[in-house]
Amino acid sequence: MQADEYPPAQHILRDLQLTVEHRPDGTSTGWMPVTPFICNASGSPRAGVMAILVDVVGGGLAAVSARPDWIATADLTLHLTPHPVSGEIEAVGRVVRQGRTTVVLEVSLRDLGGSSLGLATMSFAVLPRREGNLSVDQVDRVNRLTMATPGSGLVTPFHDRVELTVVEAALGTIELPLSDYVVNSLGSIQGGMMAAAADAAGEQALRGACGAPVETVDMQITYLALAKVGPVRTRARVLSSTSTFGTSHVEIFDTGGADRLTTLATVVAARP
Amino acid sequence: MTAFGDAETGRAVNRITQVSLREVDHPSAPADTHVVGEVLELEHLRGPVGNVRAGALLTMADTVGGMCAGLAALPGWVVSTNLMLRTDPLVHCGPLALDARVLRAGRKAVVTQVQIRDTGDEDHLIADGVLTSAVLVPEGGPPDFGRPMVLAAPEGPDPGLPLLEFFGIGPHGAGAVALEINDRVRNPWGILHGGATAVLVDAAAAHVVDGDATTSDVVMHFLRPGRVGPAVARATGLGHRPDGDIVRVEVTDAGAGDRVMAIAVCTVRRP
Repeated sequence: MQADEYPPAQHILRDLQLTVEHRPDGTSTGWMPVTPFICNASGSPRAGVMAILVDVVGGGLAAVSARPDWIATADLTLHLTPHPVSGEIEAVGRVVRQGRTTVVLEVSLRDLGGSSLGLATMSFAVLPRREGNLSVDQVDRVNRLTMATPGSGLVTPFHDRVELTVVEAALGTIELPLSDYVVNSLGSIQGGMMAAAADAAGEQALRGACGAPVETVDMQITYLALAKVGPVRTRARVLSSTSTFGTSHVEIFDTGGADRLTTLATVVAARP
Repeated sequence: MTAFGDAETGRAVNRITQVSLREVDHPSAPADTHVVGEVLELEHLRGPVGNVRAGALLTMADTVGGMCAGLAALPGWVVSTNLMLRTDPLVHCGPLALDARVLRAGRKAVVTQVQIRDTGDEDHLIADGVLTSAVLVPEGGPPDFGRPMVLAAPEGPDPGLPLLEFFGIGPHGAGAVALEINDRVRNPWGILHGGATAVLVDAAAAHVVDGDATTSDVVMHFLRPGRVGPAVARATGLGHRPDGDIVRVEVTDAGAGDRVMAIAVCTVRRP
């Protein structure tokens, strides 16, 4: 897939209306408009959607940093200090380590008033470039890319639009199909979408354990393999819980890919 | 300069945690490598509220996970690059049972899952997480532990020293804590041990919130080796949540131009 073919016309990144700016100084910034369709009941943006923004900003920054090689996401952590937001979310990424085999970066999240929404970290393995990897060019000048297109934008809640379904709430079992709408440039489910699945699974499992609705505030995600076939299905286990917050362990399997374990996550959720 | 030919050099950090390690059978493939461990004495590892400090649990996780990853990486060996650990800051009874298994063994990196259970509390899972290690080729070859590997807890003159005293961690200017990089805290690669860095991060995170606060969850990225010292950790509060304060910690090698060695994000619970 070439750069001008990804994301396709109908894609979650276009409906989230992300804008990303990569700069020659090794920093990148992304913006995402906030709508009720991406927010929790409390009005704070969903952790899974924030992870998509982080993945796009961080992935782009790492790809620029690793040139001429390519990158694969190894892990993503998200630590939120959530509060209701209107307007836009801004994500500012910077590389903290560029080595021959790894890239590590931080992404700060804030609202347009400058109030912090949290901090994310990401690690990437540096891989030899292969045919089909997105081209990375124009890195010697400010490069701003808007993924919104005329008519794009969510008109239904995020989970409904990506067809994320709850199979067994108490067990944190949810399912997410692989479609062109949620894939990355390699045709596998996009890393941020895997985080969104972990977010939903953890919340479902912890809702019962905590005895009240909870919202994800922390995620630690380890990517082990690509989800190439789908649908992916989660399995969650509550590690600890109180009446105000809890922690769950989430595994994500590619059911169409011989039930391969693709992703591990630790999810912390709290009452808003 | 590395010290893999010597069973003792570079392993002084284990004198404080006293981890004994054992490989479960000889794996048929690197991905099947499985290492277990045990820690008997906890008193000197406890924090102000009676739990084993997160820094000590991180050190144990780095020890058992690193050994598992190293055996899976043979004939190479590993350095830790990323450690994510959730801990349950209860009052721990002990002894502790450690378990590390390979999640993915690649040519350049090994990912292991680490769990620590309190056998004195019905095997309650008190810590679990993921350690990612980079595979390197040590000068002079990898360590020879024999297979299946068995490594007894080391004898040392000061296994009962309180954790922070063992590492020599103390205040370093406004809002920072530091330790000297000497042979006691070096690993076999000759650089600052990941466990020592973790204890420093834990101390810095708790220091910025409240002296009696307890670190629960930690994400650490080991970015560059610490060679000169002192290693200085500065913590910054990011915000408050029902489960604690969120704190970012940056560790620098002051003697190497303040080069950033590690960054961490911690959740810290107030007393």
